Amino acid sequence: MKKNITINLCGRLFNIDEDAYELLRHYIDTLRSYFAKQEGGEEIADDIETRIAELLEELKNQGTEAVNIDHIKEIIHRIGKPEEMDGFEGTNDEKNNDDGHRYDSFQSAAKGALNNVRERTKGKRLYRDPNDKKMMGVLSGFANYFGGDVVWWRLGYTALVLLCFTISAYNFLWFMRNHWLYVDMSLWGVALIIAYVILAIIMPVAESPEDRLRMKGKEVNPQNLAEELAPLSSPVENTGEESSANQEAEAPSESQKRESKRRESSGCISTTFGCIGGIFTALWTVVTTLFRWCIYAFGAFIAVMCLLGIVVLGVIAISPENTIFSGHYDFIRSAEFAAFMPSLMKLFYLFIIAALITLAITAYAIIHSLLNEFKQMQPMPYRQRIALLVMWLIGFVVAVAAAVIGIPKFNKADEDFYRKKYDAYLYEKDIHDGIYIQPHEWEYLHKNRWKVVNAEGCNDRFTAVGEYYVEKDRWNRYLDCYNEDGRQRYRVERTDTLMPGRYYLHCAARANGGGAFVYQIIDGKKELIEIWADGNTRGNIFAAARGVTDSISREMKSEKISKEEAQKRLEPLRNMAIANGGKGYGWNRFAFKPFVITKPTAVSYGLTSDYQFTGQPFRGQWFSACDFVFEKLDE
Amino acid sequence: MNIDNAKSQMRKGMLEYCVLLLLRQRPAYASDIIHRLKDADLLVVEGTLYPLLSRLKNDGLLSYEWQESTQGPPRKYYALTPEGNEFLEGLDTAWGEIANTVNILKG
Repeated sequence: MKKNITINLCGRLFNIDEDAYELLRHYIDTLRSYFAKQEGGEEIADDIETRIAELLEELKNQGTEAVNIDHIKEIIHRIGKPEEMDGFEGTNDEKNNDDGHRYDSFQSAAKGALNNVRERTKGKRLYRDPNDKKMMGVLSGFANYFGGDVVWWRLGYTALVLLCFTISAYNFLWFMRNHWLYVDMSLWGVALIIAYVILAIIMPVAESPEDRLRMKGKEVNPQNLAEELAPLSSPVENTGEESSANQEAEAPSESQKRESKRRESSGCISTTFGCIGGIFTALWTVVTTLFRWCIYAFGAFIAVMCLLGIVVLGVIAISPENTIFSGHYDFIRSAEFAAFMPSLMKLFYLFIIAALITLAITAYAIIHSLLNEFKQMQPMPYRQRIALLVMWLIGFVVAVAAAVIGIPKFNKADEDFYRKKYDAYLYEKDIHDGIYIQPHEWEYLHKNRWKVVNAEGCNDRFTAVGEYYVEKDRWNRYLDCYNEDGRQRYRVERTDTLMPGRYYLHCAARANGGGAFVYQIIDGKKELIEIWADGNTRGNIFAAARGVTDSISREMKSEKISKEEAQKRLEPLRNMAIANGGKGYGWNRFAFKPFVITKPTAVSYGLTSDYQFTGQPFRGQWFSACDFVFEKLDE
Repeated sequence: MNIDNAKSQMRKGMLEYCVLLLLRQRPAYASDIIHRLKDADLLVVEGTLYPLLSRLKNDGLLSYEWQESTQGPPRKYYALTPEGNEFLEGLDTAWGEIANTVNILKG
C-alpha cells in the first residue's frame, strides 16, 4: 500500500503516489532551473508542464485512478531530459563520465600510484556515503573517492585492526615481559579505531543528490541529477511487498536508502563468503550495530561531559575567587597578588574562553553527528567542518598553553607568598625581647631560666651539645657561643633568690681563648672569674677524675683493694675520665668566693664575653659553661 | 552507435523545417505537432519541440492564440506568421538545392 496525494497541475487535479510525486516534482524543478537560463525559458517550462498534464489526463481517461511511479518514469522518458531537448544525444556525455573514475583496480594504482590517485580523485570530494554504509559510511566514501570496490576497503581496514589486536594478544600470552611490544600493537589498533571515528566526524555525509554527484565525481547538472534520482527508485519495485510496507511512513529517500543498503550489504558479503554468507552477514550486522551503538554512547557521554565542563567553566569564570582560588584566601587579597594579577587574569580568561570554544565545538560536533544518524538534518558542508576543526585546534592549543604557563606561575607566587608569611610568622614568634632564639634553644634557656642579655655577634646560637664532660651525658645541652673573629658580646644570666645562709657558687666552663668570664652579682657587687683557655681537651674536671681513677686502678692492681671495691669507687668518675676518648673536653670547674646573706637575696650569675661588662676583649673563638650550682655551707 | 548519431544530426537539422511545413499545412496544437512528428520518426524526445517552438515564436516566425477546451485548461494554438511563410519559402529553396546536390552525389 502506498501513500497517495492529490496534485494540481495546470489547473487539473490528479491522484498520484507519493514517490511518483517526488520524482515528478524533482523533474519539473530540474526543467525549470535548466530553462531559467534561457530567454523565455519560463514559458518553455510552462509548455512542458502543460504537456505533462495532458499526458496525465490521457491516463485518467484510460481508466487509471492513481498515477504511479512507472507512469511518471514513462512520461519523463517521453518528454526527455533537458540535455536531450536541445538535440544532443546522451551517449556522448555518458562516455565522458565513464572515464574509469570508479573502476580502476588496485593494480593500476601500484604503477605511478600518486598520479593515478590524483587522476582518480579529480573533481571528487570526500564524502561519507549514506546509501552504502556498514557503520558511518567512511570506508564507502573512501571507495567512492579513491576508487575500488568498498569490500576491499572494508576487508583491509578490518584486517589491519584485527591484526593489531591479535598481535598484542599473542604477545600478552607468550611474551608477557615484553610490555613495550604489547602496548604498541594494541595502541595501533585503538589508534585505527579512533582515526575512523575522527574521519566520521570530519567527513560530511552526502545527503543531497548534488552531494552524491560530487562524491562520485560527476558534474552537477540537471541530467545527472535526474539520473541520480532515477536509479534509486528501481530497488523499490524489485523488492515488492517488503518495501511497500516500509514506504508508508517514510519519505522515499529514507526507504530507498535502506533498500539499497540491504541490497548492497547482502550482495557484497554473500558473494564473497559463499554459503556461510548468511551467518556471517548476521554476525557482522550484530557486531557492527553493537560497535556503532558503543560509539554513539561514548559520543553522547563525551558530549555530556563537554556540556558539564562548559557549565563549570562558566561558574568559575563568573566568580574565580570562590571556586578555584578558594584555598588561597590570603594570597588573593594580598598586595603581591594585586601586582601579579593583571597578567595572570589575562591568561586565566584566555584559558576560559579557549576551553569554552573547544568544549562547545566538541559538543556541537558530536551532537550534530548523532542527530544526523537518527534524524535527517541539514548536513554540515565541508567549509563549516574545516572551519570548526581549525577553531577547535586553536582553542585547544591556546587553552593548554595558557594552563601550562599560568598554573606554575600562580603556584610559585602563591608558594613564595606563603613561605614569606610563614617565615615572618616563624621569625616573629621566636623573637624574645628583641632577640631571635631558635625554638630548641629557647626551650632549654627558658626551662632553665637563662636570659640572654646580649646577643651581639652570637650568630643566633647560644647553646651547644655534644661535648659535655660526662661521657654518658655527652649530649646534654650547655651554654655556648662561637664567633670566628671572637667578636661575640654574649651575656647570658640567671637570677636565684636565696634564703639567708652561707653559700658559694660553682660551675663548669671552658674556652679556647682568654677574655671569657663567669660572673656573679650579689647586692650590685660583681665578681668575675676568667675561664681558663684549655680549649676542648683536658681541663681540670677531667684531670681530677683521671687522677683518681688511675690511683684506684693502681690500688686494685697492687691488690690493696678488691675489684668490687675498685668498681664501686670508679663508677662515678669513670664517665668523666673517658670523655672525648680519654682526652677530656676541656672543662674546668670554677668556684666563686663563699658569701653570707642575712635576708632573702636575689643573686645573679652567668657567662659573658661582653667587653663592656668585663673590661676585656675576648681573645678566642668560643666558650661554654654549665652546671651553675649554689652549695650551702654550714654556719 | 555512430549511425544513430548521424541520423540524430540529420533530424536535428530537419526539425525546424518540418515544423514550419506542418504549420503551413494547417495551424495545430503542440500535441498535434508532436504526434505527427513522431509518426514521421522525426522526433524521439517530445521535449525537444518546446524550446524550438519558443525560439521560432521569439524570432517572429510563429504566433499562437489561446483556445479554450472542454477537456481542461486553455491550450496554445500555433500558426505561421507572414514572416514565417516567407522564411519557409526560403527554406523550400534551400531544401531543393540540398536535395539536388545529395541526389547528384548519390549518383
